[in-house]
Amino acid sequence: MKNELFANLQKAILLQEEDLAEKIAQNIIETGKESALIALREVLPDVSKIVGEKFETGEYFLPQLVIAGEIMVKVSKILESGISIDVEKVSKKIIVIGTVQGDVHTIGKNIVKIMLKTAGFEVIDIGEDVKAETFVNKAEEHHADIIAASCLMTMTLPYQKEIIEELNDRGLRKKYKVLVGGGPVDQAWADKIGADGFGADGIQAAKVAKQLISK
Amino acid sequence: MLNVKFEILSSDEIKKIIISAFDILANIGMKVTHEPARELLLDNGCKENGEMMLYPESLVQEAIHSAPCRFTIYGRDPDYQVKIEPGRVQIQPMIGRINIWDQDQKKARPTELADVENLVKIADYCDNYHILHSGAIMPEIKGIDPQLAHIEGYIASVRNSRKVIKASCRGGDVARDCIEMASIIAGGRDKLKNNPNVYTTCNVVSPLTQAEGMIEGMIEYAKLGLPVDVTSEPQMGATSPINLSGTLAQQTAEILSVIVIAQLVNKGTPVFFGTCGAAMDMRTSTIALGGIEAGILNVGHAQIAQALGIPSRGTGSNTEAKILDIQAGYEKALSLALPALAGMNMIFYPGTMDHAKTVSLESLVIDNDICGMIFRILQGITVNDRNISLDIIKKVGAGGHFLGQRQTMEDLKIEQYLPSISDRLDRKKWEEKGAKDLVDRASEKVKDILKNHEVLPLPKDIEKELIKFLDAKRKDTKKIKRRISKS
Repeated sequence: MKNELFANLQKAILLQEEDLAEKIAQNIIETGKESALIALREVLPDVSKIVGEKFETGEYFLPQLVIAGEIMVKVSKILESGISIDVEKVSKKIIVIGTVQGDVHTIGKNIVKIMLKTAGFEVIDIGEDVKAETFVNKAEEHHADIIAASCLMTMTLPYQKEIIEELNDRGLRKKYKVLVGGGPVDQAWADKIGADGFGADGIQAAKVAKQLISK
Repeated sequence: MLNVKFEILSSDEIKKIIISAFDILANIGMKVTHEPARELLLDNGCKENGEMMLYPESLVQEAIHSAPCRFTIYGRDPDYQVKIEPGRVQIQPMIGRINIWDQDQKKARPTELADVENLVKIADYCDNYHILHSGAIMPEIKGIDPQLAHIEGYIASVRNSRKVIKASCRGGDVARDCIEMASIIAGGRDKLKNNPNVYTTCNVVSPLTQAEGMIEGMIEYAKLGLPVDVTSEPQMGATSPINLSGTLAQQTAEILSVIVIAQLVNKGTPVFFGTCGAAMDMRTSTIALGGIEAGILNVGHAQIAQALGIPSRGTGSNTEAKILDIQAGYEKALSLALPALAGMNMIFYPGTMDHAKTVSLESLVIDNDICGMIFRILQGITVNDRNISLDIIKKVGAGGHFLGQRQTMEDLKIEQYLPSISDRLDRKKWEEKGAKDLVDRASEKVKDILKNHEVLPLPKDIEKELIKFLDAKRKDTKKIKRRISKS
């Protein structure tokens, strides 16, 4: 019965059937906390992996990836609501994400956000046009593990560097891993400014974020 | 002038898209964060709805009406004039990008100031380019203090070309610096106002968001009536609807929302109605500037601009290719041909590759040839008694030839476009000449231009003034840095 529910949940997400996935998540809660925990810890990470693979092999396009991701975020919330204590929250690593100063682009950041959430991170979105100082303040406030900075315009690239400088100035560089991404960003730029990681897209960002945390 | 015209939208379809754009502005609105712009809009009949600013149609109509349909931009040499008017296509090559393709090393590397000088010098030489992007637009030039990049980039550019040079509006301070330098070149503010030798691009961020810094900078240009290219850059399917008509409606609203501000600041400010929209490739999450949808979007966009009576700006010569290969060739040619055939008044991006993130000296030379072919298409076929040449056909008769006819000699360069680096040798001669491919020949041409092309020198007194301005800014920057490090 449970296994059937898990299989159906996976199927519903892969078919981007939002209502159905939410209904199955409710059904899983009804069978008990233990099932909700298994769904959160085993089923969703598996589906997330499959979705990522389907995108990388070209079977899924970006909209399928984003919609499946959004469904998984909703399903997680339902499943979490079925677990009374905040077990999941306690173990989650925290990422503060934003678009750098002078840049009001949201799309890249929002896609990465979904991928990070589906990869099991707790993601704090601090919005767009965010000053370096604010990135660091918010990371401190939320006890984050990773700071992720997005930028789409070449003219705002230097502000990614400012985040690293701000961390250095405040003696906090070793406390956080810094992940950079966005249209004009590449590995060479990430290396140049001394970032810890670079993600060319949401999938890669999530992979790199996981690697950074396991280090 | 344009003798050929390609249309993709009917007049009813254009109307429907424009009405939808008015609807977006009046009922969905735009996110306007620059406070002075907000106040100006509210004083002139706009209404706030949360963070969105709603524009009444009458205000938008007034702005469309007061934006001129033609204007002239000048080079630093006032004899160099570029007319922006209906039926005329101008090409703007790309100069200031963070990376440049190094043909000798066969890889992309960060652009340095010397590269900016070389790129501008090549663009000065190429006869199909009249308005130039510049180093002033670059936020980062390798080896240059980022606080001074717009100044160093601008001076390096005006020094190496007599043509029209673009400057930046990323923030009020940067805009004021650029305008001050343009004013030094023009010989004062009044002369700059009368004969503008500078212009800028103010990008709108799709969906429905104005970039605060750019609006602040744009207002500085508008105050003096200097031309502003207002350009929306939606990625279809990601930051605008996947459908081209929806994207056209959204970007029309986005562009008009800024044109309204420019016209309120200074009625009659010359503006371009611009797009660099393209599809997002849903497999790679990257923009597909060289995708054919961008070309089609450009055609529709030019038609909408024509209906509004505002000069249009689009993109052409776009490619995602990382090297100058066949993909670069077909994407560049098609993306140039479509907007040009639609009568786009300014086409931007020649000289680029890699999603317009990398510039290339060789690409500037190659694209100049493609532009030449495009202009030849626009010239069309001249039909008159002289060109039909009945008398000459009769004179030459059966089995003769036309090589000895004066008209062949006289009309050769009018009727035939002679590309400078395309290969048309027979195979044996091509092999004898080293069997070189297009990029090798372009590279040779680049070296030849850099060695031999003489740019009209910048007058000594102007050069001196510009250096004085740069030195003063350099001192200011040092002072500020010292103050910061002390605190």
